[in-house]
Amino acid sequence: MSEIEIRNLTKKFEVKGQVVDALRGIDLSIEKGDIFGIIGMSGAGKSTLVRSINYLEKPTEGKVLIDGVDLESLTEKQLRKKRSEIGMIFQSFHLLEQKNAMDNVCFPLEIAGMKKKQAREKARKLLETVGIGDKEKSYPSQLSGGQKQRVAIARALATEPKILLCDEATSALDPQTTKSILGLLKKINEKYGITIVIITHQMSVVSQICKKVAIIDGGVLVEEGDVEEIFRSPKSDAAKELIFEKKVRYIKNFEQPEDAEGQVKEVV
Amino acid sequence: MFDEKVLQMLLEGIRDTLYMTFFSAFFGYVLGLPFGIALYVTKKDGLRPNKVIYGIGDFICNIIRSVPFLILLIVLIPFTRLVVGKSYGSTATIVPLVICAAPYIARVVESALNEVDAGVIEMAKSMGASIWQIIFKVLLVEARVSLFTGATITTGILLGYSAMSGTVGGGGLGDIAVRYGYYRWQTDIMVVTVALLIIIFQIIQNVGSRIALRLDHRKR
Ligand SMILES: Nc1ncnc2c1ncn2[C@@H]1O[C@H](COP(=O)(O)OP(=O)(O)OP(=O)(O)O)[C@@H](O)[C@H]1O
Ligand SMILES: [Mg+2]
Repeated sequence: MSEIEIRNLTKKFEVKGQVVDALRGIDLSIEKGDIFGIIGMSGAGKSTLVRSINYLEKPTEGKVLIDGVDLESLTEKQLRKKRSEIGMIFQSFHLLEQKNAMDNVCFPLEIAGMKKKQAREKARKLLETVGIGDKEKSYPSQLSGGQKQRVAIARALATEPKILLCDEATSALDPQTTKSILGLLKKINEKYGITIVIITHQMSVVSQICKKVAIIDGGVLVEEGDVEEIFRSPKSDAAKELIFEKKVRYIKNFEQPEDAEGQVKEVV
Repeated sequence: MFDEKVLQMLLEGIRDTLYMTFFSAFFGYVLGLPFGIALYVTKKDGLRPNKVIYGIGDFICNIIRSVPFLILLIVLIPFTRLVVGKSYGSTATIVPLVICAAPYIARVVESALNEVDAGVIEMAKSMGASIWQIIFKVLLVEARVSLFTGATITTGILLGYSAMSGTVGGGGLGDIAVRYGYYRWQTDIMVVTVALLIIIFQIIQNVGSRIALRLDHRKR
């Protein structure tokens, strides 16, 4: 049994009477300890997919199983418990602006009901692990983007999750900082054996850290496999576009200049 | 300038004004804060959207807020009598002040909470936070600067309203200003009471802004 199993996942949004198919029939298995990349153009449905994994987004159809447990079968309380076992980090960090680094890391522990003193000890260790042990008293406004993401990573790890979801976690960072954050994620994966799911629109992120990758395009999973193999011989147009950073479909079919992004913008 | 009796009266006026202002602000928040939180939670796309509850809350809020304070003061006389036993004096004035302030405060609270970044709430949810934890550990903490600024503004408004209630025997500085300035043409006393009101207002505003600034860690 894979750690994360997504079966026939479909998600529809209704905006002003219009139905948007954000995800269509996604099947995906992610094994324990993997660093799994999910890549796609803007609006492809990546965020929706990753938010389905901890049920922040309830699927319209299909199932999400974590360690074999169907999230649909959980009560609200059980679901919250489950979520605390799945860490999540975001593009814009989402730190609590009025709390310093230490208190941000303590936040999930506080939620889980841990004693303050114990939580602080743990948070201190985590801040050291992510390389900013000297910043525990700093507020987010006093930290750089990379440092903020490190705080967010420490916070996501506080509850000792088995899975870490990263939604465009490096998209707001420069290449150098991206590299160091990815290095940190890799270290965490090796040290704690956490399964990491990385959502990105940058192929470079996938090539740096992922073992496996899935490509989604227009809400559909178009290709999946080992990173190396897909880089060597991408089959789908979407994969080719992402790897060669060129609009393959535009060249192939210029009568009808299809624009994956353009389609989405209309809906938004 | 003034004899002892007038000074005594002014001091009592200050005391009554502060008493009315702060007590009505306090009880206004006792009612208005949960009310505002309820509006925020039940609004469309809120943490627990509920059209009925939001609709009713929204309606009550708008109704009370659109009634002029003086009318409210008079309409509420029977209710005031029921609550505090009489319908005049400082304590009695607090009742309509609270009723007037609560929906206003609810709106101030609602809009302060609306300013909290949706991403932060999403983060809290992703960590398994319950609705109550999101309210107390995220919303009220992250919005505390706006909440405090709102409370300062509300207190200032209540100061003004408490003075207004002086016209119908509410006590406090407003009462003195009306009695001496309007009925007896003792302009000097009226000028002093107005000056006192301005000073109190300034102090509230200044202290409030200063505390708000100190509470804020967003920029340094
Ligand atoms: N809450 C929502 N309500 C309506 N439509 C939504 C909602 N969330 C997402 N969508 C739509 O679903 C589609 C997929 O969105 P999603 O955010 O998952 O894309 P994405 O791949 O993460 O894009 P990006 O790279 O820009 O973050 C888009 O067409 C988007 O407009
Ligand atoms: Mg996204």
